[in-house]
Amino acid sequence: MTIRLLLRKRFRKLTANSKGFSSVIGTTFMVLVMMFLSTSVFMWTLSQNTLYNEAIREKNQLESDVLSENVQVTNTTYVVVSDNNVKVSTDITNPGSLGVQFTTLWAYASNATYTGYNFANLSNVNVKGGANLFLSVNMTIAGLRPTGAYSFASWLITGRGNVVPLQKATSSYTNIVTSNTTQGIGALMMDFQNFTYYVVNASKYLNPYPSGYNAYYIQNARTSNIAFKVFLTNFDQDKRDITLTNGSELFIIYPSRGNALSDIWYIVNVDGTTGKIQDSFSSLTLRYNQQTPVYFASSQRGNTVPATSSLTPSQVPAIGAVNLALVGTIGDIPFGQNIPFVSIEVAS
Amino acid sequence: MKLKGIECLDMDLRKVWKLLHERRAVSTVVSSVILTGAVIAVSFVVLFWAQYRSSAYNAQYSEAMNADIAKLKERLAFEYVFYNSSAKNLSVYIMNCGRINKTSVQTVYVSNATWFFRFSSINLKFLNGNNATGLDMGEEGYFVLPFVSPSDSLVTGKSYSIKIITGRGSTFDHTFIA
Repeated sequence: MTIRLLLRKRFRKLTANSKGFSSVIGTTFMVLVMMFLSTSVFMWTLSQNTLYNEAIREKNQLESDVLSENVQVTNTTYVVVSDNNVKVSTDITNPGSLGVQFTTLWAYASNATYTGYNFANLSNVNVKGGANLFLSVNMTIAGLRPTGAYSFASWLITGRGNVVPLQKATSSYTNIVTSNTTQGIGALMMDFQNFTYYVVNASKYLNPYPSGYNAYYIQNARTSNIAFKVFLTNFDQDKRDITLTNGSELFIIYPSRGNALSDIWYIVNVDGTTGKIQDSFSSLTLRYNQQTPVYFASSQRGNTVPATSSLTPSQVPAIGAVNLALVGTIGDIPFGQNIPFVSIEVAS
Repeated sequence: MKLKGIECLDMDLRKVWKLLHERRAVSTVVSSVILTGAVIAVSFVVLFWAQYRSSAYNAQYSEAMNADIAKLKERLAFEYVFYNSSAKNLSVYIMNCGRINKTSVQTVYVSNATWFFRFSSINLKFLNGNNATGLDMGEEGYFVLPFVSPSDSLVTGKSYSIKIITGRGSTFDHTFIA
């Protein structure tokens, strides 16, 4: 008997014998059922785990972004502009790579008898990575008075939930002393070592620009149009901006010439690059602790009509007392200061 | 040819007659059919039962997984905590900076090294004063915790911890000075 015949005989016997057939079917069913169920459960569990891992990855990314936010907020100033209102100004620097969105500014004010705080919602205050932003916000804090002295603290909230404290303007010991000194006579300080005059030509250019001449000894003031330059620094203790308006003037009194003889030069704007006097005057802002050149060249307020000395040939040389009569605003309130202590000799 | 066909038909009819009237081995066939049917029926029952059980397991697992994912996405930032010593209440300003909406505050604990106080009914409000059941993404809100009993009031200038338990069970801590 060949193997083929043997196999055929066994197969015929297997198919002819129905005993145990149901067990085969049952077992097959069971195996299929178990495979189907276990596969579906496994695949579904896998998808759930994927969702969970995705959520963990998202959270880690969020945490990483929160930790990567690197913002510096400096030079913060507080000005109580009116009852219940404070103006908070600050410089924001984002040296990090992530852009930062600011949502809320909080401020806290207190003194011996008062405590108050409030918040201001910010919209569209975004600082890209590596960018700077000057932020100025008017906030309402109930109970604040412009005449009061307060200690302020403030902080910014970012969209990712970080809290960024606002740091006040740094001031050195020298600045404090200067500020305390100027508190008695006014917030503006003049640099007495750099007092310069120029000759103004027909095209309203300053000569020689930018060096000029030492203004303590002036020649040809009677025959030439003259412009003066002084350097002023804002040392306001509350670190507010000072804005000079067109009424600001430099005037010289000649006491030895009698009858209160005087000359006036009104404030002008000068192009810092070319040294040309601008045709119209726009208010000049002096930021805290920044030395700023201020020019006086016009014989008329708000205009650019060149000015000369009114001294006659017989009146020169003459000694004059120079005064800076400065007017404008400090913060949002009127401001005025007269800076004396400068005397010059007009030689010719 | 015609005769041969009639003979074949006659032989087939005889086989059917014999099959219908032959009783031997009938019970074996019937029992095999019944047994096979029963096995198939039981198999389907087992299939449906197993599927029902696995669906229940799936639903339970899915619920737990979604809850965990929602917890992971929750994040609260403390904007400001202010203790009013005269009114003896603590104002807590928070922001939902997470990635999921409807973040509610369930319980709040205020504590220091030797003392703690639990607040379970929190009246969460938006910053404009309207009541809020929860904070959506990016929204800010606050709640006020009253310290009614003098023995439970905070000491100004001292450091305290505050822990918020959200409705989903996440916890967020913060330290403040009263």
